Amino acid sequence: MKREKLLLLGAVLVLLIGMGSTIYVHSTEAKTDKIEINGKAYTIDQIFFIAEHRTLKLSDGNLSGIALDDFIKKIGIPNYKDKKYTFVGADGYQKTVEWKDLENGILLKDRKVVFSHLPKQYWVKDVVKIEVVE
Amino acid sequence: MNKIIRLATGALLFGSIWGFSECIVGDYLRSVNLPAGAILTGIFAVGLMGASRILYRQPGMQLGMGAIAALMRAFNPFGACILCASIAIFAEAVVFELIWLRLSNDIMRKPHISASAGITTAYTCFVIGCVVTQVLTPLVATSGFYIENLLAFLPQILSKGLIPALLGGVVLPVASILTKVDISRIRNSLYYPTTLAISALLWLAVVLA
Repeated sequence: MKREKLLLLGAVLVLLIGMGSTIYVHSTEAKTDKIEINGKAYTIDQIFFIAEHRTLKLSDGNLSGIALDDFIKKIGIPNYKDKKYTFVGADGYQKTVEWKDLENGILLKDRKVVFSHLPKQYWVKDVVKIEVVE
Repeated sequence: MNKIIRLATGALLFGSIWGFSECIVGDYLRSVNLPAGAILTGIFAVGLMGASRILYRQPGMQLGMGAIAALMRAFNPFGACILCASIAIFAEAVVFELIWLRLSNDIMRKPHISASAGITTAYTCFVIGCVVTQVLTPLVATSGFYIENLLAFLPQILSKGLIPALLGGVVLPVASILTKVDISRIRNSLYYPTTLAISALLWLAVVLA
């Protein structure tokens, strides 16, 4: 009987946690079409104008976008090779990578970052911010 | 001895069905933009692990199923992150075993209890599976693990667990129908050829896909 009550309580608890988190995620979702880096916001067209293009060969086809390392170089981040970079999605999902990872990374037109050598867990969609980490 | 071999072939069969669903059904769900991870956990992982536990009544068997399904996922090089998926599958099996350590078939006969068990199991399996892959994949991929990335993603993981929880709440009461089935009554001459043939076919389909 005690076990049955615990199961019922557990089910109610996880449903409440799930619903509460869903409300929180939707209320905090960023709504912007720009990408902020080092305090400055860029539109995707500006970024595609600034940086050179790169095509990545992946196991399930090729993907084209702008080279992330070239973009970082051109916007003038000091000591860019010694820094880490956190890509933050509109939904709050974020991933931190090193400079060497950017050399195999691209930003797509739909604001998704793709790394050819990293697991897909690192592919952040709807990027709204790139944080430069010391 | 016969019981152990029966359990092992049962784990092979159910693990292969789980692995097949992760590879083939999962890729299809992703291609039509459905939440594949949530559906796979809520329906296939919890449904198959729950059904096999109810049928065989043997703790530990689902861990074997998880190992087989994770191995099968690693053999299928297409679709989403292979490493993440394999790690998540095995983590789900571990979580299932921990939750079901003290659950018996008797309480599963009550629909509201089996639904509660389905909700709790599916939600916990999904959430912990996600957390484990978020921690282990960066370490295996040698790109470094950052706790702040996990903390920022945690509300999303907790939110995404709602779909598998609701699915688990439906699937487990359906699977609990199997409490009336006595698997030991199936003759060896039928049990072994059937389980091994189905498992072989599923593996062949995944390797050739």
